[in-house]
Amino acid sequence: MLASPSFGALDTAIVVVYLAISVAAGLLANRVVTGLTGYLVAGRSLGTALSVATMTGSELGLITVMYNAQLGYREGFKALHIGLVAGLVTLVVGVTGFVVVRLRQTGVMTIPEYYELRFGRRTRILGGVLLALGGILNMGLFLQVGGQFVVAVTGMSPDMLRWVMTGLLALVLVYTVLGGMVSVVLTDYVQFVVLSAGLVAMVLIVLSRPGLGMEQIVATWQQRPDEAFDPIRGHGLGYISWQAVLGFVSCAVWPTAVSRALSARDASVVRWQLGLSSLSFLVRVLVPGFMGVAAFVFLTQAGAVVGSDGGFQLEGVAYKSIQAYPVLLREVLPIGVLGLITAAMLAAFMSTHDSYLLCWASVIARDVIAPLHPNPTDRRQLLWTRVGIVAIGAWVWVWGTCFEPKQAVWDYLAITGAVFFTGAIAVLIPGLYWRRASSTGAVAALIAGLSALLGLHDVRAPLGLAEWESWQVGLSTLGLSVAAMVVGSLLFPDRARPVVEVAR
Amino acid sequence: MSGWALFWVVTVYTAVGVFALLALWVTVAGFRDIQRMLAELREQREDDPPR
Repeated sequence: MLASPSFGALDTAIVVVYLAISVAAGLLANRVVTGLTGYLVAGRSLGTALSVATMTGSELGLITVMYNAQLGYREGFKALHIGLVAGLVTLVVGVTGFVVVRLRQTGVMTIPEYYELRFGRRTRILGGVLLALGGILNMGLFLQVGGQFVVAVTGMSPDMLRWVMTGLLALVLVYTVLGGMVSVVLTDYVQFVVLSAGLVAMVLIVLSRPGLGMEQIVATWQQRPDEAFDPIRGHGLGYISWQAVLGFVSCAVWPTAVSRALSARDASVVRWQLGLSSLSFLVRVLVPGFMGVAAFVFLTQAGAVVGSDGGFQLEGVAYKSIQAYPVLLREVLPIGVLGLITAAMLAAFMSTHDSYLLCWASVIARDVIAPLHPNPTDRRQLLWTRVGIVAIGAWVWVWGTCFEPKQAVWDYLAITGAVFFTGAIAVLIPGLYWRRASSTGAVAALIAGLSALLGLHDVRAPLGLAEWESWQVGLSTLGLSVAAMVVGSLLFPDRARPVVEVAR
Repeated sequence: MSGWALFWVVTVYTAVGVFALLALWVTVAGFRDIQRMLAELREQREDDPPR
């Protein structure tokens, strides 16, 4: 028999105090920020340690924790390979400085801004539109999943989901609109401290629980008929290659991560930032994935009835597979610690949400509206960015309320992100390293990236492509974008290559 | 314990241990970075007051 719900007054008090500190730190930023550079890239004044904190804070979100836990719960240990691949790829990018260092040296604030330097204004605007489209679709599920976590971990009624979503969103909007990147960095730091302590404590507590030791967990998964440990036999090299692409994107192409590199003091900080963050990119998959692995064992022991889709029934209540992890926390953690871990998870939610809101809003303001406006002053761009943050927040609320994904959350995120990043890889790398890359090739590559939408189950099924896996669509789209770039550049070369200013 | 199982067990323990050390360093050094960043931003604000 389980002793739930165990979320008590002390836990609630810890969460409330944490949220108050977070918002206060964000509001402080509003007093020191001036100008667009201060608002969007924190005056390019981030040192190495703060860079690592903010990179980890933004990329280790609650959504990341939840989908990785979902994968671990459904697939076992083999799901952890995603973190290993991402960590290794990030380490290589940090050591070599591939893409990010050259991008930092151009002095741009966003990726589409680089497109204009290298390929002209139309490429910037198109790149900005696709980036905003893919990015905003990508964060569409963040709020919903964050709300599901809070509802499951506190034992609230599912009817409260909308109210929880509204409250979470309102908090993030307030400090992001006021303080911009400085606000995001300060809250990321607070969130890193709480989150890292929470992650380590969570592993130790779960492993020290009777029946959930490492040997017991491994033994339970070894009894499963399907492959639970070997990722090559379980998934195949094609799927693992796709994870390597996603690992590269996460650290070197994805705008929220790249904005950290562009906010760094200099190229040396960028290398250290990525080299050290490779550990965060590993842990952000490994720890939640392992928690999912442990959740399966715990729920099996607790007598849960698990369905073929991973959904389960526990003491007469039906849960989705993505809620296995918060249910584990609720049932295993003692009072007080549960509050601390919940605060850590909310920290993860907020630090990602604020970064994404700021990033996509700044892209719309700087890379789509400003190039089309006759007089885009800094004041106007600041205003557009702030309005954009609120508008995207409203859209995320509506999408999170109405949309129900029919595939694993990880697949949804990878495919919506691919709308932008498959084209971006095909444009950025040749732009930085291939002299013959042309603006026609860049536009063709960006448009080819749109075909990634075929990876969404709701788009694939009506077209009779339901049997295609998301990773197959993703790799095909990347290949198409690269081919479009190469063929377009060779057939339609630019008359003169724009001079890219390098600010060292 | 099979080869892959042992590999994942070692990986989980090692990654969590090293991450704990990284978190300690970032917590201390990051606080100093924040002080420096705020000082720089205040300087920038004095040089370029908002209109």
